[in-house]
This record gives sequence, structure tokens and C-alpha cells, in this order.
Amino acid sequence: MPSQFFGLSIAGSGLRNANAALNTTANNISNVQTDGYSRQKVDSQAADALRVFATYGCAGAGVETLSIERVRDSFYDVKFWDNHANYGQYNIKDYYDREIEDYFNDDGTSGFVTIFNKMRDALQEVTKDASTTSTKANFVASVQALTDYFNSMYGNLQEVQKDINLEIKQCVDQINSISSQVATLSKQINVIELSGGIANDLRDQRDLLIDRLSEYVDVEIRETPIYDTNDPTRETGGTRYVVKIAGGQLLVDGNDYDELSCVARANDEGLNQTDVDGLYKIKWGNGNEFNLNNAALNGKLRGLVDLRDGNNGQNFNGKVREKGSVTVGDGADAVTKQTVTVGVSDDYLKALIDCNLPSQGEITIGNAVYYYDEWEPVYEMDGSDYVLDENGQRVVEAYKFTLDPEKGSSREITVNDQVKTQEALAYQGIPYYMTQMSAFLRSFTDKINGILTAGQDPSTGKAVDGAPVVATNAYGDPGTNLFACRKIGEEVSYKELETDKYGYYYMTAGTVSVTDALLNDADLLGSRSNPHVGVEECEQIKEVIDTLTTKSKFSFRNAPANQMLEILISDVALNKSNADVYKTTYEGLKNSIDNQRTSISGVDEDEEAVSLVKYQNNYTLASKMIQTLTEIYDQLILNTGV
Amino acid sequence: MNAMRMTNKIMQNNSLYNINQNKVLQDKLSTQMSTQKKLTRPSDDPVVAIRALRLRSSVSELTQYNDKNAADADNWLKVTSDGLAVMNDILTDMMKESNKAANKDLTPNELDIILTQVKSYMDEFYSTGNSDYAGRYLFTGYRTDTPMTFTTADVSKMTEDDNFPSYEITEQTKIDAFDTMNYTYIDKLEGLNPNNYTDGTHDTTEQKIENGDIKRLRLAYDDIKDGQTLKVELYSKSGSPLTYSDPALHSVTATAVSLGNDPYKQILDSNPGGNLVIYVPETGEILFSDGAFKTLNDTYQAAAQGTEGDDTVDPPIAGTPGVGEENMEIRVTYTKDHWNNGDLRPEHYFKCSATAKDASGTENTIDYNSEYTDAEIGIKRQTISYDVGYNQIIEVNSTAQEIFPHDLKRDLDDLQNIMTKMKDIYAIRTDLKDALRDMEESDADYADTVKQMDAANKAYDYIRENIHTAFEHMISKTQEYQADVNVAVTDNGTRSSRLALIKNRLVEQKTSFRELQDKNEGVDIAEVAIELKSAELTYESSLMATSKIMQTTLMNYI
Repeated sequence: MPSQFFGLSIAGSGLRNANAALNTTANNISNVQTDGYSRQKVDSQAADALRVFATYGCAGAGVETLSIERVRDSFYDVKFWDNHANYGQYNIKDYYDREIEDYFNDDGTSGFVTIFNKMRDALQEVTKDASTTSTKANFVASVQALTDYFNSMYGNLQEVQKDINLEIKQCVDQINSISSQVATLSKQINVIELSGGIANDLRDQRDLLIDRLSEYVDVEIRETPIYDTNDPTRETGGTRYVVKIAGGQLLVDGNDYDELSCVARANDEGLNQTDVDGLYKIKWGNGNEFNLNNAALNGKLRGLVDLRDGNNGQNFNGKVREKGSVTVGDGADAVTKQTVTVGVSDDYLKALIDCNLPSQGEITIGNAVYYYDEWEPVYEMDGSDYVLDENGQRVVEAYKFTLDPEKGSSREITVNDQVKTQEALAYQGIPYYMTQMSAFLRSFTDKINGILTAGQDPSTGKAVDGAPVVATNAYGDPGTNLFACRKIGEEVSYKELETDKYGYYYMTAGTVSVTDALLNDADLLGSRSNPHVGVEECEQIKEVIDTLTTKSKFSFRNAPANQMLEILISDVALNKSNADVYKTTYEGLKNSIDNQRTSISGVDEDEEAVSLVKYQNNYTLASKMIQTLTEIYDQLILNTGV
Repeated sequence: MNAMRMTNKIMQNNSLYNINQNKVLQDKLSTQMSTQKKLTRPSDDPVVAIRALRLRSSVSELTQYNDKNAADADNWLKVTSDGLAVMNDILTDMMKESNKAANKDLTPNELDIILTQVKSYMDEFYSTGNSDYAGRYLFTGYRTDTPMTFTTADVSKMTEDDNFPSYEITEQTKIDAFDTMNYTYIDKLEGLNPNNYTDGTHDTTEQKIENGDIKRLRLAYDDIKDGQTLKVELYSKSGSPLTYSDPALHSVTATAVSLGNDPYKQILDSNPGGNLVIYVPETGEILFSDGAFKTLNDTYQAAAQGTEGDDTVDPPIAGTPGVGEENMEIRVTYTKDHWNNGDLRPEHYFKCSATAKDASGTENTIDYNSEYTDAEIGIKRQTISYDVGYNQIIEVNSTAQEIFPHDLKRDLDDLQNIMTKMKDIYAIRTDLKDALRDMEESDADYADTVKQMDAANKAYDYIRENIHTAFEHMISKTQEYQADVNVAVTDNGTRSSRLALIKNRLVEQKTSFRELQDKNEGVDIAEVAIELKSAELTYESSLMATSKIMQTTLMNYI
């Protein structure tokens, strides 16, 4: 027989349970719109029944309120994070590709094709009236519009690269901020959970931070229970929360986190000829390099790195063929520097027109990092004569680097060490477009200059005896180069451009220009094929016209010159539309996973309304029970047997 | 079947997402409506975008071809055609005038008037060659800055500076350029006048008057430099110059004999067996005695035909196939260092090099047309051609070489020479006639004077006949020149009509490219309007649906 007051205790438990449930409902309703909030649920079970040694057996002892737990399925979290990283990557690519596309786009008034067409029209006018200066001046002006176009493209792309670089820094700052918060939250959660109970709201907050982190970089989370060191089978209730990013690199481990920092590359540490100064390297707090180039890297950071450094998989790489040394300076200032000759095998390295090596920069030889002060192409290896490729350019057999003795690794270099200056990033980022423009300009300007200075000895500027064609200007002298190249403000001389070991290396979208002399006097244009043939003849101009549109005379990526932009624009348009497609796909996936997650964890107003009524009824009934019992006690104590 | 637990937030999110998608579509459609273009950026559809670029290039190219190049070509052709029409008229007039000379009863003075008239037509003819179009000379090939002839200004400047450019000219010609001239030797009648006919120095007889034909090669210019040694050389165009162990066979040397030394008589004396070759600097003629010409002609023909030699051809061409008549060439190189107003500038015709002093007084040599003697190239016209379509080129100019021959002027030079002689002999005859009228048969000089008279009559008959032939020759030559001009007119006309056809085609092409452009980039307004309307409807219904699900929850009913 249970105690006469047992009922009161049962009703009390009901009252408490209903109270807890009502409070939880209140909390849920309050957090309907809170980001990352998971609905909470009161976990209850019937209390252990009381054996009352009566014929009817046990008596129910009311309800036991076990815990308040959030309703959440971490499976969806993992899926969301993976997907969010993809979304982050393609969203940023979409953004920047769009910007690049805008620069390359030709709306029919100012783009490359329009400018190119104007130049071709101006050339046509020259063929009809080659004896007047004004048609030639007009042509030269149209060429200047073309070089201006490339100069501004170069500037614009550099600006984009600068923006991307800055955004990488912001990205790193965000990751740092999140990692410190996650570590702090983990500590607080453990404080609460070690003393029993679940830190629902803190866990929600931590998951929300990981949600945000996963947009910047791919994440991998492992949470393992902490066991009692004295009793390895006993769980202490605390957990070890580990966050790894960028393909398994440890960011947060329990209460500890590692900080990332951005270090701007010095001028002599560059990666590409066309890069802006001060691109960031990312380092861990301990000074180790943060590995940006692993296939698993994802998220916005991946997108930004691809855009900033993407070289279409065409990095400088080779093998050490020879070692040597060179002494620079005289007397007391003399310094002996180590030289390394690196043999190359990739086609894009064998042609100097595709070269995007900076004049000084970073180089990795056999996994150790060195820095070179200068480099030069080697056309003749092992005493063999140089070979010409199908474009008539000398084939580069190797590159000879002069290493900076003050900087970089001191490891002994051995022959056959693998060499690279940067990683092969398959994406077509800024360096890719820059290299494409350089390659086009180098071969194009070389070709056109060649026609307009045909039969001329570059070292003397005089016609070579017996040349079948001598490009001649209006004054009967050998023609002047149309395209010049500005290296640090000054025009590089034709001789330097043509006979220097670097060839047209200095020519990039940033340095190409029209020769000053021609801008001042268009009559210097070598339009005629012969000094005595008459002023109206313009064979050289006709040759230029043919060269512009005939693939067999000049081709860039297997298309004539006038289609150069089509090629680049189809690259950029394809990249943009890919990014767009992926972005949309991952956005849809993100929404759908988020919905699935919300479907489990989200607060539903109707449901809470039902809970409200339900628990209110519970509460009312429990109260009623107590009232009833009170009346029974009244009856029992005051009226029974008195 | 949807076992998913649906919360209000999911519905809100989904609704918002859908509304946004609808707005994106509406934006796209309304942009299409307002720009009339399918694409706003290449990545919308890279294929269409690149096709659009190509079409734009094509349209711009066609615009250049049609609106500018074809129009300019048309202008050139029109101006040329005007020039040619003028020339045609002049030649017609010239022929009419020459026809008048056919009457054998005309006196030398009357003939002279006709000749003067013809010459003035000739001057007009050549001055047409200096026509220009917008400051550029029409008929001078690439040398649009140089007139076809030396002008009065040129000559007075040269005279003032005493700086006549010395041209070394190489004429390239064929054996049929040799012609035959008729020469009448008047012996001592030369210089006879009423005061000296009786002093014995001018006594002659009818038998001493000689008339004969002389083989000659008339150069393009008269008044060439005296004292130079001219060479008439045989070349095979397709290969190296012909060489024989006897150089006299492939290279005939001519020495100067000026008019005062009676070059024509020397040839007549040398004929028929002699082997004399001389040139007359004043008239620019190379004279061959019959024997000399036969040797040259035989060598020439043997080399051309590859016939079994004739032992004179050493080494004989025997057994070799012969280079063919079309590849045979005769070259004469000579220097001319004096120029008159109206002389055709040699650089428009021949390989030549001009030496003159430049402003600083140093001598400067310019080589013109050096490729003419190049076996690969040869003589070629300097054609100015415009691009008027894809791979369609139209020549716009006619050149001096085609329509302004040296021969016309040289024919008139010949006529003038004969005319002078005829007038001389006519005067002598008149003088003698007058003298005889006043003489008695018994006069001591009577017999001699009659002999002189007979001689003069015979000479006059020869020369009168000669000038008649010369005028007839002139008429037939003028017809030839006119035929040349007509060929040029036809050429020019053909080009004009070809250009007209090309222009039509260009306009068609442009239209079809514009259509393609429209098809490629343009939007179908009706289609887009309908899509836009339906997008609007979708948008509105999505708003309505969302407002419904967001308004109420269970709370409203508790």
C-alpha cells in the first residue's frame, strides 16, 4: 500500500514535467528565427514504478524528466559543410570570372574585335592611298588603340588579381576568427557537459560557426569522447572537438587552435612575370607553409587561389642538368653565385613566347626553396646547334638560373633534382590570361615588325645587301618597327628586342606600345617593298593585311590573329558559365540539404502551438490532480472519522 | 508520400527562393526586350557570343569593302575612263588631220601646217598622261607623286641648277622592233642656195642621188649622249644571257656617227655586203647595214628556234631545243643626259638608273625597275589594286606603258625630219627653177644647173614619196595607238562593270550577314513578350501563394 501522499508526488512530477515542456516550448517559439538554432525537446520517461505489495502489483510513480536535448542529425551537417565548401568555391569564381568576362567582352564599341576591325579598316585605307601621310597616321593611331587596349587589359587584370589577393587575406582573417571562437566554445561546452547535461545552445553556436567556416574552406570535424585517465572505460562527459581544414590540416584541437597568417611575397620572390607585387603566401603560426596546392582544398579559399594563381596546369618545371657558378662584381665586392641549368621538356617551356617567369623569383629545387637573381634561356645544350620551331623561334633547351647566395635553402643541389617555380594549377586564372595575351603579342608583334622591317639588319638598322624585299618608308629608308615594348618606362630598342637572348620576352600586354618615332611621323612606316618602286606601292601593308586574317601566315592557338579574342573570350565565357552552373547546382543542393536539416531541427510554429496546448493541458490537469488530492486530504483529515 | 517534416521556415525559404528565381527570369526577359538582344554577356551562351563577334567582324569588313574601297575604286576607274575618252578623241582628231596629208598635190607648206597641227595634238595626248586624281598622277603606276613626263617646271629647274639627271636606260625589245627607213642621199645639193649654185662646190648629177632602205633600231629617245659605245645584246629571258665564242654574235657594238658625218650615207655605202653598225646620237637611231642585220637576225632566229646552226652561230645551238621566240630579248643600254619638256620619264617604262646631284651636291644614283631584267619577274605593270571583297581584288589603274607609247612621238620625229628635208629640197628646187628661168642655154653654168635641177627633181620625188608613205604609216600607227587606248578603255570598262557586280554582291552579302546577326543575337519579340507575360503571371501567383502560407499558423485558431 503506497503512502497516502504518493499521488501528490506523482502529480507534482507531472506538474514539473509539464512546466519543463512549456518552458522548452517557450524557448523554441522564441528562437523560431534564430540562425543555427535546433529545436529542443524534453526527454521524459515514466518513473520507476513503486512496488506497493498490494494485490494490484506496482503503482506508477509519475513521470521523470530526463533531459532537454536538441533535435539534430549531424549527418546533414557533414553533408552541408562539404557542399557549402563547393558553393563557396564556385560562388567566388562566378563573381571574379564575371568581372574578367566584363573586361574581355566586346560590346561592339570598345572591345578587342572592334578595335582590331578598325585597325584592319585603317590598313585598307592605306592600301588605297599609300602616298599620303594621313592614312598611315590614322593606321598608327588605330594600332595605338590596340596597344592601349592591351595595356588597360593588363592593368585591369592586375587590379582583379590585387582584389583577389586582398580577399584571400580577409578569408584567412575569417578563418582565424572562427577557429578562436570554436576553441572557446568547445571549452565552455566541456565545462557544462562534464557536470552532466547537454550544452544545446552552445553546440548550436559552434555548429553555426562551422557552417560559416565551411564556406571559406573545406572542413573535417571529429568529436571524440574524453575518457577518464584513471578509468579508461569511463566517459567523463567531455569531448575532444577537432577541426581540420584544407585537406586534413589541423586547425582546432579541443581548446587549442592554430593561427594562419598572410605574408606578402617580396619583389624577388615572385611567381609570374605579370603578377602584381606582394601576393600573399599563407603560413601557420609555427612558420610552416600552409599548403594551398592540395587537391582537397576547397571553399572560397580554393576559388581565390585558383583565380589568383591558376596557370592552366602550365607551371615551370624541369630537372637540374648542370651546376655551375658565376662571379659577379670586382675585387672586394666580388660575389660568387651558384648557377643551375634546368632542362625542360614541356612544349610551353621550350617556346619563349609562352614564358611567364619573373626576372627574379622563388624556385624549388629538390623540395628546398631557393631564390634566383636572374635567369637566361639556353638554346644550345651539350654543344649542339639551336633548333627553330614551326614559328621560326629558337627552341629553349634549358633555363639557367643564378641563385641568390644570401637567401633560401643551403642544401646541396644535385644533378637530376626536380625543379619547379610554382605548382601546376589546372584552373585558368589571371596568370593564364596574362600568359595568353603575352604569347599572342610576342608572336604577333614579332611577325608584324618583321614584315615592316623586312630585309633590315637589326644591329645596324640598314638594309641587308641583296635582300629580296626591303621594307621601305616614304623617305626611301628602311622601315621602322611598328610595335615597341616599354621596359620600366623606356622603349626597348629594336636591336635589344630582336637580337637579345630574351627575344620578345619583355613584350607583355603591359609593356606593348607603338614605337615613339612612328607616333611622331607615320611616314616612317615601312609600307613599300623596295626603295625605288614608287610611293603608291604598299606590298608590305598588303602582307600585314594578309597576316591578320590568314592562318597560314600567322596563327595563334591554331586560329588567325583576328580570332585571338574569340579564343580568350571563349575560355573566359566557358569558365564563367561553368562557375555559374556549379554555383547554381551547389546553391540548390545547399538549400535542399539545409531544408532537410531544418526539417529535422527547425522549429515549426504549428507544432509548437500544438505543444503549447498539449503541455498547457498537461499542466492544468496536473494542477487539477493536486487540487483533487487536496480535497481528498481535506475529506480524509477533517471529515473522516472525526 | 512526403514523409518530410515541413516547417514554416522551410516553406518561407522555398517561397523566397522561388520568388527570386521568378524575378531572375523576369529580369532576363525584360533585359532581352529592352536590348533586343538574346545575350547580355558571353557566358550566357559562348557559342552564340562568339558567332556574334564573327558576324560583327564580317559586317564591318563588308562595310569597309562596299562603302569605302569599292566607292574609291569606282572613282579611280571613272577618272581613268574620262582620261581615256579624251585620249581617244585626240587620236581621232589626229587621224583626221593626217588623212588630209594623203593628197599628193599638197605643197610642202601645206603639209607642214598639217604636221604642226598633228604635233599639237600629240602634245595634248601626252599631257593627258599627267592627269591626276586628288593630287595623285593616274597613269604612273606606284609613282603617283611623279608626272608621266618631264614638265616645264622640271626642265627649267634642271637648267637653272645645271643638274640634268643622267639616265642609264636599258631597253628590252625584240627583233621585230627593227624597222626600215627610207633615205634619200642628195649629194652636193646639201646647202645649195641662190648664191652658191654656180661656184662649182654644189655640182652634182641625177645619178648621184641615191635612195635606199636602211635597217634601224629606233630607240625610245632622241638626243642621247654622244660618244658612248652602244651595245645591242641578245638575251634569253628564261636563262643566262646568250654567249657565243665570237662575242660579236651576241653583242653588237655601235659607235656614234653624228648627223654632220652623214651616217645614213655610210650605211648606204656599206650595203649590201658590209657589216656596219652605227648610231646617230641626235636622232636616237641605231643603223644596221644589211649584212650586219642579217647576222643579228640569223643568230636571233637560231637561238629562238634552236635550228641546226649555221656555222656562224658558234657554238651552234644545234641539238638544243631553242629558247623560243617569246623568250628572246634584245637589250640596248644607253645614256641620256638632257631632257626637254614633255619627254616621257624613263622610270615609267624601262629599267634605268638616274644619277643626279642631291641638295648637298653629291651625286646620287637611283635604280628603277631593276627587276625588269630579272628572268623570274621581267617587265611588269605597276598595278594599284583595291580589296573589294573576300579575296576579290580589283585593279584600278591603267599605266603609261599600256597607253602612252614612245613611238607616237618618235613617229612624228621621223615625219619632222623628212619634212625638214623636203622643205630644204623644195627650196633648192625652187631656187634652181628661178635661176634656170633667168638663164640662157648658152650660159656657161646652164648645163651644170640643169643637172642640178634634174638631181633636185629626182631627190624631191623620192622625198615627196617618202613623206607620203610616212603619213600613211602615221595613219596606220595612229589606228594602232587608238586600238591600244581602246583596249585600255575596254579593260577599264570591264573592271567597272565587274566592280558594279561585286558591289551588288557586297550589298547582298551585307544584308544576309545582318540577317544572320539578327537571327543569332536578336530576339523574337512576340516570343519574349509571351514569355514575359507568363513569367509575370508566375511571379504574381508565387507572391500570392507565399502570402497565404505566411499569413496564418495554428496560433490564429487557438
